[in-house]
Amino acid sequence: GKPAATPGETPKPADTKPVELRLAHFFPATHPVETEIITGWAKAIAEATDGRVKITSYPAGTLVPAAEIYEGVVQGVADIGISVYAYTRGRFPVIETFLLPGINFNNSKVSSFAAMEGIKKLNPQEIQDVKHLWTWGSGPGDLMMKTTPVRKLEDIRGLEIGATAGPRADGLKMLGATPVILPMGEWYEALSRGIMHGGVAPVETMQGFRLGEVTGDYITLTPFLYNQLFFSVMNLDKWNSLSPDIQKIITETTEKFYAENLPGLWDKINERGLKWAKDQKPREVITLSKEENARWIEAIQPVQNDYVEFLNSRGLPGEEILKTVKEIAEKYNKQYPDVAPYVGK
Amino acid sequence: MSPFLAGICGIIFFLILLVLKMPIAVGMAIVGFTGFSYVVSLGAAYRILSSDFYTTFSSYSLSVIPMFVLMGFFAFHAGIGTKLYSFAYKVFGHFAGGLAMASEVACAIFGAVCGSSTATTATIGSIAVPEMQKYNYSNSLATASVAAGGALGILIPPSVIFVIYGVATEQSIARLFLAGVLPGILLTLLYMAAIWVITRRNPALGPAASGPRPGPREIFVALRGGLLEVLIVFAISIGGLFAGWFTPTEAGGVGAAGVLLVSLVEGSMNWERFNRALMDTTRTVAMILFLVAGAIIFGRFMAVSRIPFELAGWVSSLSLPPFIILGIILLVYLFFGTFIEMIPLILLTIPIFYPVVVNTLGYDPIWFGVIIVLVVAMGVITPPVGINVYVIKGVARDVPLEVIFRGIWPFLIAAIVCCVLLIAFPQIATFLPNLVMR
Amino acid sequence: MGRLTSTLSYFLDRMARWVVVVLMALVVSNVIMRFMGRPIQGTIEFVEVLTAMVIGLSLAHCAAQDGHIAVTFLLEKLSAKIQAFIDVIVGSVVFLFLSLIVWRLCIYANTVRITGQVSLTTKTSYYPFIFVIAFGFLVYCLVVLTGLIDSVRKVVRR
Ligand code: NA
Ligand code: NA
Repeated sequence: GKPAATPGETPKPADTKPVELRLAHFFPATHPVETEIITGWAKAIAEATDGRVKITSYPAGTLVPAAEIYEGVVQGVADIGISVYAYTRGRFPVIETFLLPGINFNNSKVSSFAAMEGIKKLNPQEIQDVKHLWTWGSGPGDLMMKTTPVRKLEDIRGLEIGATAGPRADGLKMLGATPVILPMGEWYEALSRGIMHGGVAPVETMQGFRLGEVTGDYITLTPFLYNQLFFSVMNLDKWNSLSPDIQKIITETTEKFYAENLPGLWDKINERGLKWAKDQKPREVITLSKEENARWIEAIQPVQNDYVEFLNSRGLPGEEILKTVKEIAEKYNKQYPDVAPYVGK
Repeated sequence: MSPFLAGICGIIFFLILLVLKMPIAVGMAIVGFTGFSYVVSLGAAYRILSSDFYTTFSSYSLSVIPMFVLMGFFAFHAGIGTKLYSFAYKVFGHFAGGLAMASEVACAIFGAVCGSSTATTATIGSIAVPEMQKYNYSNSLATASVAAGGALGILIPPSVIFVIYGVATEQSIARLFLAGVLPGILLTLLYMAAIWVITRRNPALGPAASGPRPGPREIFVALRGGLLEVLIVFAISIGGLFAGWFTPTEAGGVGAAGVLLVSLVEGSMNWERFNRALMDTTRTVAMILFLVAGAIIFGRFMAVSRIPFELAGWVSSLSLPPFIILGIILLVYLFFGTFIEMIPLILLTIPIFYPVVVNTLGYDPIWFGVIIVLVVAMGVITPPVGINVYVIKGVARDVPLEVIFRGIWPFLIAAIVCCVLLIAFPQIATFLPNLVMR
Repeated sequence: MGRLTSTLSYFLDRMARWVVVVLMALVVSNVIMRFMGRPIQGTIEFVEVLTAMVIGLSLAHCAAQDGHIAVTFLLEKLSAKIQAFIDVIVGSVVFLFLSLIVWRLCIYANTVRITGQVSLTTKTSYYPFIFVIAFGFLVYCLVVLTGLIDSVRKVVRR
């Protein structure tokens, strides 16, 4: 196929073809992840490397479908992939601990910083087959209900609630609801057909996936129920084929770009999405009372115990991993105490 | 060789394989695999080869196909299709082409709620084609009318393509749904008009019933013997889908079970017929999903060849009158719609075309969405790759492919007329959403 | 050879037919249970896997019945011998390509097994189903091989 850059030598920018990197992700082409993050990062890399590295984005799963992106990067279908850890259940046992319901992440800064620190500290075996670029979190996901307000535990019993992935589906089961696991792209139809009474996801999806048209008259804040982590990883051979100076530039540029843009991103787009939804029609945002909150968290607790057992069965120190994750979460919750800051006052 | 050139070679290579009688699904997969391994790498191509087959076969949104095809074949083998069409023949049979027109309406209603053009074609086709043949309709009219009608449902809401367009362009999906209603009805009427015109010129294509017109009593009698019950089952399945009780897959499952139940009670189902319905179902479904998987692999190659991007970029840079640019864009979709699955094509090109059409040329975004879907409806019946035509070929195995494609022309012309009308009178699309949603 | 492949593909197709019935029964039961307020957990992923089984198991029999659509009318005007010759070439390519699919599907299944991926709701391992599909393709391969041998005979004859 195409000539890759020869490792070791440092060619002059003028007389070499730039290294082209294919980036696969599943967000719509209009989503801020494409228009702000990927475009901005690609531009920063191109500038920092004097045009020696060119990143081409393939949005909306046109190169690789969402659940196949990680493995697609390992096999070189894409050079870089951005997707969600939770779409391949069991593939990332350690990192999935961060997604367990019952662990609170106040906002997207907390979940992003916690994940980055956790991955550094735990250095999980499961992602050693790629070059990990960064991980960010969406922070809280909330219950967006169509017509039924959820104010207490009893209200959610027997309802069908959409979820995009396993961990929060387990939480929903414990709460007495019936989880319906569907990829985000299929939610609009499922909600408009009445297959789901609502869904648990970040409120930005009301705008980004047009869900505000079919759900979200009542929004119950459930930061303990939902956390989503997104990875950005690169094919290992591709990474190793880059010259050391390019590797260094990419590492430094990425670190800077990440710190400036990603950790608080979801709070920002959640705020934008919620405002958009409220402009369409009135929405009631429900905050659970303290006692109610405690009841929900207690109901969810068995999911964590099961998960520790699962980790142990995989030969991993379950207790220790869960403890580390909770400690890191608390550390950053103290540092960024705003719960669901996108709701405002 | 640049990826772009490799893409062009791939398309030519695919056409050669078609001529050499290679099964179309395999041909698409081979070219997609080879091209992808050339542009990216062999290891990467190995990966898409395996994962695309598994993920396509195990897709929930495609699971609607086996269920509705099963319903269609149950109805056919239990003789319910015969009853249905003898009823339709009593009502519409006294003028030429009447049954084909009735099939158009059946397609529009069924497709409207089902939303999948392949499932509609397979379901209605499995009932309608053998019956029309029985009443001496020509093979080309019997098959082509259903192949074309199968795509009516993607214009009439709900429609997956509108959801994808709405998310990709940040337009209201509810508005898009409303905008599709009148053009969908218009296209149905135009298809019926096309049937009227060709059967008027050559009545042998769809001969009218001879003898006196049956009275209301005779028509009512034809409803007996299980037909009324089956119509109720259809109403529950389709109505439940429309009311939001079922997903499309569930509506198909409920419909199939209902038809089975009615035919068992009526005594028109026996072991042999049951078995034959199942056999026809697995054969048809394997054919359709294998084809879809092949098209997806081919589409991956087209994506990395960057042909859609480069072409879109080129068209956007032209300095020509707006309607000419629009015309070129539609031709691009029609051309590539003959090789690539429409959904990936829309995802790949809309981000480039949309700003040009809406921001630069100033066309209405909702209207453009309707136009795109209309072009999709044409793409599924145009040669060389018209998936609806292949599906109907799978149902009507005795009809040669070229006969079906020959019958497509009147419908294609009708669709082009519809497109021209929409360009001349954009209100056909924008009137309803503006009325209802201000 | 011909006998063996037709028996085998027919046997798989018979299994596929029963999977269709199970699929219908599952979907209908879930609708009924949902109206009673107790939907069956994981229905969607069962439907997905069963659909995949229907296709995987019936591919070969579909091929044995010439069910996979090809454009045949363009070559009809050529002599029988030339047609058979083209069939040999095309058949060999199809055979090789399908063998490749079988091999890669096995590797794919094995990757899913090793990395421990499970379904999203019920957390069941799904790699065995990928092996079943690979087996379906293997039988499809044999069907093509049988046809290929026939075409070779036609070319060699006379
Ligand atoms: Na529709
Ligand atoms: Na076409």
